[in-house]
Amino acid sequence: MTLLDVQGLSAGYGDVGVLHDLDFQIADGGVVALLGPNGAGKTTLLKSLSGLLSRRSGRAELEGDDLMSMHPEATARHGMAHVPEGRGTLTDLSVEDNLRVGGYLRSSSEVQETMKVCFDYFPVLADRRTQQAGNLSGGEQQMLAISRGLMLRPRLMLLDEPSLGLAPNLTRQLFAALGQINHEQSVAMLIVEQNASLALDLASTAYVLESGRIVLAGTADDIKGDTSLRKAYLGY
Amino acid sequence: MTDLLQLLVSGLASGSIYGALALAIVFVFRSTGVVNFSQGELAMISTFVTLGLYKAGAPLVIAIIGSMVISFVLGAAIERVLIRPVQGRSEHAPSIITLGLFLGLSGIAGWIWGLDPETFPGMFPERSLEVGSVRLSYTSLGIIAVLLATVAVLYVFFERTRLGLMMKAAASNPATSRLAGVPVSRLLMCGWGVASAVGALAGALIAQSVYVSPSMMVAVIIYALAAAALGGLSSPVGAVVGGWIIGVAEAVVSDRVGFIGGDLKIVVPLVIIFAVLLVKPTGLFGAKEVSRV
Ligand SMILES: Nc1ncnc2c1ncn2[C@@H]1O[C@H](COP(=O)(O)OP(=O)(O)O)[C@@H](O)[C@H]1O
Ligand SMILES: [Mg+2]
Repeated sequence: MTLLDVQGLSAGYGDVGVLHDLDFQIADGGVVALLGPNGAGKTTLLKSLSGLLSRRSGRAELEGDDLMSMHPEATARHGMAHVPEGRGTLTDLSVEDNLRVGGYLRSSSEVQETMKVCFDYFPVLADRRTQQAGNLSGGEQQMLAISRGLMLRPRLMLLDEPSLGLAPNLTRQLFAALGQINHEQSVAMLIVEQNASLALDLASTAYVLESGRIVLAGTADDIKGDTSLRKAYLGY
Repeated sequence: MTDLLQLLVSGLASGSIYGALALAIVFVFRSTGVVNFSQGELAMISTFVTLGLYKAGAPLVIAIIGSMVISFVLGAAIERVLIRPVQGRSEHAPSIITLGLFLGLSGIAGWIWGLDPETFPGMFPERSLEVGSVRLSYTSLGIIAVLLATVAVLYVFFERTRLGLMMKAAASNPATSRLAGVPVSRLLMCGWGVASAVGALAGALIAQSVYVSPSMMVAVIIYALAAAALGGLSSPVGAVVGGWIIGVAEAVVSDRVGFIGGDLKIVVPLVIIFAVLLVKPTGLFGAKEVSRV
């Protein structure tokens, strides 16, 4: 089953086109890695899917609902959780309040329940529940940003460089948690990641973006197994 | 000693007036990040509305509540029509619009209600409470009590209600809040509305000691901005304490320091702000700068 179906998506800022005619799909419960160099347009792609960027055209449907006409509030209502680049936390609110805001669309019993689920994945957040988010470490803030997205009980999470600025072992822990979340919560994921090998271990499908165009698409296994492809597109 | 206590209470009462308007300023700043320089002029319009309702036969309490409701709508409309279109285009554009409003609203008020000062009905008994040899007027005590009640309500609203939390979130990070489904633009409108309603209440308090006229807020708004800045711009408690510090300092200094008479006392808040911001740049109760790792 296809969850997200994108056909001929173009987007940009003002007069400048950044994304050109992209086609791709995400399967229900699938994990897709979005790779590519800095400035390729990965962040722009996530923003145009979640509605943060409104200058976009083409077709993008989430279970048949047209995303191109939606504001961020509406894409959230349709089950899309975008965790933006650079930790989108509410720095002057407590950890718990961040999660409550994340659960804005859910009933208070669902909020309580989902908060427990988040604390199971990231126990350190439970210890810091009354602390101001801005005082958390980089890794903790990233866990909080992901948890904030989880509070929505999403069908699809858009994760923009969740490992940015984290130490390697923390990054591995984070990706392990993401894998668990994907399985247990049946959430599909579109993950932008600099560490291609880590992303390909988690994902089943990958797309490589360069200058706003998809230059390589394939299963994670095929790409991992093909040294020349990896060298050409991912530099390792 | 006794008249120092009396001075203190009258200073607290006028400080409470500055604090009440400062609360409205803080409310807008906290929910939208804009310093509303026209908050005082809006409150002046609200006071004329209250007076109009009262003259039309409404009991004073009903007139004030009615004016608060009308002011809510007016504030929300100003946000939608004048502030929204420029928000995000430049950091300072909304604040500059509020400066324009400052001039525009006083012009409109003069055109509608004329420049002749009018008296506002007293909200409290005109007697005094005698404590030993100290006489405390019910008006002073009443103003302080109304302000404290307002702060308590706002505190509960922000710290204990879902709507208050979402408003804080919308102000803190609009993009992330929208991604969680929070209707940010509606909440920002609501923030301006609530601030204007608080301003209407402040206007009634101010009118206990000032005639109602288009220029009634000109001095008060400066003290209120000073109080808000002193308290750190985003803290309701800070706004009130800031108002009190300024009110008491003004009362004591103009009474005790010979050469500072009525004209020079407007310098008092400036000196206090300068001293405080020099020592603590975020204000007395300002959120401490959170470092992003
Ligand atoms: N707010 C913006 N306004 C104008 N151009 C932008 C903006 N954000 C990104 N860009 C441009 O869009 C292109 C893609 O950026 P981005 O999507 O952030 O890339 P990536 O996330 O892959 O590093 C870059 O050339 C960048 O300069
Ligand atoms: Mg990016």
